[in-house]
Amino acid sequence: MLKRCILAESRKLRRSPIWLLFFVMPLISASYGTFNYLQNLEILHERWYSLWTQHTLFYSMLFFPAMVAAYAAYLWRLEHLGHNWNLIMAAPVPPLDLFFAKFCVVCKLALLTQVWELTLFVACGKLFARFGDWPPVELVVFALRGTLGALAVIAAQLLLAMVIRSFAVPIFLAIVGGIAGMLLGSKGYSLLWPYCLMQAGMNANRSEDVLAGQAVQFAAASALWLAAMFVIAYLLLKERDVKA
Amino acid sequence: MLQALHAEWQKAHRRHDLVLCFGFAVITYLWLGSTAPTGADERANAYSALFYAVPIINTILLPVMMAVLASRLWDVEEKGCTAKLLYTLQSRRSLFLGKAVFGFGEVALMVILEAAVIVVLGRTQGYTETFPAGQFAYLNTCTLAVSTMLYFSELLLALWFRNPLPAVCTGIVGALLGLFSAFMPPAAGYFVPWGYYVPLCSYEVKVWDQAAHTVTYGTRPFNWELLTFTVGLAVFLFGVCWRVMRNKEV
Repeated sequence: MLKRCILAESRKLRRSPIWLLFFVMPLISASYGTFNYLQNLEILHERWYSLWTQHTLFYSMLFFPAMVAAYAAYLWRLEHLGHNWNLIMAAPVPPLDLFFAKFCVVCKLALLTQVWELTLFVACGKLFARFGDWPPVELVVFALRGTLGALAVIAAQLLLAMVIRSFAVPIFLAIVGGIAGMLLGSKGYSLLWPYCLMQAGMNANRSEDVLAGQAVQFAAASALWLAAMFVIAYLLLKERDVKA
Repeated sequence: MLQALHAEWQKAHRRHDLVLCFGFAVITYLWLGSTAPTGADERANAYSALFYAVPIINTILLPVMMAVLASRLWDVEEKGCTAKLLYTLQSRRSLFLGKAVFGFGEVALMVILEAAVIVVLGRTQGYTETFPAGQFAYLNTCTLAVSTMLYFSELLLALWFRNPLPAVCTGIVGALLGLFSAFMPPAAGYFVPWGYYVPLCSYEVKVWDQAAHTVTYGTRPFNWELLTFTVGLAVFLFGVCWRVMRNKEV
């Protein structure tokens, strides 16, 4: 049943305008990051690492949460339209399967976004910054770590989009969450807020690894936040019923 | 007209738009407050630093916020399929004016709340710089003009498409473009309406001492030409929105 739910959710994304956002946002982020790097070569000396910080700074703090929020809100909007909520509540599907299916589809999109961002990063480094070598493997690890941290953001946004029937409000809340994450991260509380995890994982705007020696804590915090979101979603879906 | 406005007020009750407006003020307060001046020299320059930072924060938050408000204002009719009913119960003019005036009221409320945040920050953080009343009035006028222009651009998208996705996505992409234009050569900013908060800003970095980590701010003349253009663009978009609603097929 879960597999069918995932297929159904994937089908909703076909010919969706969400793909435009998927392509455009990382493209703008990469263009700006590269431009900024090339303009500040006198103070940015760490080549691939410096380019990475310029590419990922605003992307991980503000615009990745907003993109994920748009993906999540788009999938839930369909359920909030017309009588679709009653339809899914009456469907012979465990409620958590619906949530999990949407989670899988948004994860797939987020992973593709990360791959697209990484591809643009390497292309910009080679074409515009004219680096002769390839980026250090560590940066790929940062991207993977960022994706791991993003799982909690995805679950949080799916939860918000499920509870709030508006399409736009969860997206604004994602940006607020990102800003709160930025403020908390700067005070060293990266593991205490789900929106910080992605930023910390990506090591945005830091030359030294912000998670050095904290890999286990980071993984535990990611798992804990993810589990918390799923438990809340389960409880809410269990309580909610059709609206006659 | 007053009845239409009252109807919009009643619809907004369930949408919790006021909560969003207050939420914007709170996040602005927290963000600006987190970079509180520490030393005496920073406090003596604090309003300048604040007036330089506010337009950048506005560039990130307000395009999305305008998209949220505008798309919700029309989405409530799309979701309920009420357009056909409303067009028979009231004139299109009163419906549009109700939405336009109500939306402008929300934008004005946010600008007032942000202005209050600036005043409160100055008081609570003990700024010693003389309060620049003229600059304060200019900043809020610019914020109101740009936000209103963005609001009508987003309302236009919400009216064109039956889905709020284009309006909200344009807000997000616009915020990103606006933010980036703020750090690009000044001429680039003129081509990005979402980031007009920054070229309209009358404060600039005068001296940046990288070694001592100190920044001194200076002022530049008010950008009346761009402000006039922004107001003109807002009026133009208002007109286009009205035209779209007047000719809308239901």
